[in-house]
Amino acid sequence: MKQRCMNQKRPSRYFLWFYGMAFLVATLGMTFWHFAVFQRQQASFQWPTATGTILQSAQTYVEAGNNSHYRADVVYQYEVKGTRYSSHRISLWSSDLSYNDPKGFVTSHPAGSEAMVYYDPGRPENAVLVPGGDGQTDKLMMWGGAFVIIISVFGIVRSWRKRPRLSALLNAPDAETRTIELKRADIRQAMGSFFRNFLIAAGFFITAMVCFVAPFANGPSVLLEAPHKSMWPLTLGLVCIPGIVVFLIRAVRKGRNAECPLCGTILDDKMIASTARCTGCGTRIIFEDDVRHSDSATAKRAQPPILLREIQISRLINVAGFMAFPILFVWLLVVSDPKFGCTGALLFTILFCGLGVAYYISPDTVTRRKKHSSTTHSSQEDPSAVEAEEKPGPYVLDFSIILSAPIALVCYLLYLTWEHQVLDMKSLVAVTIGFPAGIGIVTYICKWRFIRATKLKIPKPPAFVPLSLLALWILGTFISVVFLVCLVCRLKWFG
Amino acid sequence: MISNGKLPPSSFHNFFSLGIGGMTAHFVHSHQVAVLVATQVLWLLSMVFISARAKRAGGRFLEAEVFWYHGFSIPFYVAGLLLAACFYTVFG
Repeated sequence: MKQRCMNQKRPSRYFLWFYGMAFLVATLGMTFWHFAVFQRQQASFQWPTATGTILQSAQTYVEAGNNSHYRADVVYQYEVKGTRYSSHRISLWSSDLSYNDPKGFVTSHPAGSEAMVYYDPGRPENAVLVPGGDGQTDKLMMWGGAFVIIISVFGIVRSWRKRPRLSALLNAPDAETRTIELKRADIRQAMGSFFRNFLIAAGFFITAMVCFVAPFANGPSVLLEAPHKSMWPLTLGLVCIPGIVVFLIRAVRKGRNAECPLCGTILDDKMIASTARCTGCGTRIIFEDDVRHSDSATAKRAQPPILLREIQISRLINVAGFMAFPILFVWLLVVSDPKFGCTGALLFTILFCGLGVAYYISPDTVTRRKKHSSTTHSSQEDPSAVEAEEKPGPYVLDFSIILSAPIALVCYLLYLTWEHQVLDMKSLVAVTIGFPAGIGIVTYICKWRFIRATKLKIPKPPAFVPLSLLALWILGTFISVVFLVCLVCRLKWFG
Repeated sequence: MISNGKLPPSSFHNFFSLGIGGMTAHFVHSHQVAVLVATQVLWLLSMVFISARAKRAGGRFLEAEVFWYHGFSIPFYVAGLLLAACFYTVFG
């Protein structure tokens, strides 16, 4: 009986082991291969050198659909022990610097100029102008491989450490009759939390990977090429790392409630529904929920998993539509101006998608509803009283008055912007004095209207109206300071 | 601004409006009329979408009254416009 119990688990376990080990071996192979290539390329730093002459140096555009790129067509000549050689190879990792912005190299190596040539002492016809390897990509691959290997080894060690306990549980005399009671709702809740946190961690991971890989995608910078590195992808990637760690830890902690208390195997309630046993130790599992609510047990089993059951189409449409506009805006920027790279747009798309997922799976239910909802009150209260209490008063006129001052200034500034003009001395003085004065007038009018509304017992406007006035004051102060500083600077220049 | 550990949707929409406002001034400066119009249409469509969806849900959109979206996104849009236009007219 015990043997049968163990045999039941073997096929799936060996299947996973086979693929796990195959993945580990493949990763090991890839990592060592990259390491070997990198070492071989780095050896070129030790090659002897000769002075060569550049015969041809041009940047050529290669038309290849989506893979269109520039390459450097360089031919150079050099002499080793009285024998003249010619070559077109620039480096060991890219013979023509395709996809690596060869403009800098071509500019710094014009035809007719001299260049240092590194040649293989064993095969002098094998030479390069830029020695060394593609350190960035190779290091990235090696570090990635090392990371996968560490994770795999950790998984294998954990699995091996679990084996004696599993074996003891499977071979125990009471293996067939051993029973534990669990709550199906707890397991489902734990799995739901686990998947939610895991998905968020995966979102952070993808974002971090995009951030870290983006600089490497352009390849290594060639010698003498002007540096054009941006630090923001690296910063954003580093910011994502705590997110990955935090949400992975949360996922693991939440997922523990879905583990078998005896062997630690993650319990799948659908699997248990068919076998009624833990897939790891074979312990019989009885769900308290099923015992207590035996009448509704069949109906519960027929229901889909909690994540699917709780999909709210309306909310999904809201979130999808809400996030679609910012994503469209980002891609509109990419189309309008080549300065905004696809990598950044992709990054923002992933971020917005992640935020959308967060909005969908975790509704902002606590604070907002209490503050702003008029529907959370029970129907037992007097509806008309509640409505009169919470319904905001008229605000369009107040709101328009508040916005009038900045909009007037914006119209004038946009006109200047369109004409590519800067504020002259008179305009600067007028704006520096006029804008705060306008804000003062607006504030006085609003105050008068608020007092009047209080006297006439008109319902108060929504909170965003006074908050907008406050924001106008902050913005006005900032802009006035900027204009004032600008004015003082210009006065100094003219003085 | 942050509640329940994440940026509320209304605040996200405000920042989106701020960005739209800033980029509007940029497009005015670079005379990209088509993109300028597209940006404004996009922003207006987002407002219309929120209004339309809120109308079906009793004036609420993603756990907040709809005026929390419109009431703040318009000032944020104007603020973005103002800041970017100031930048272009002061620094050229």
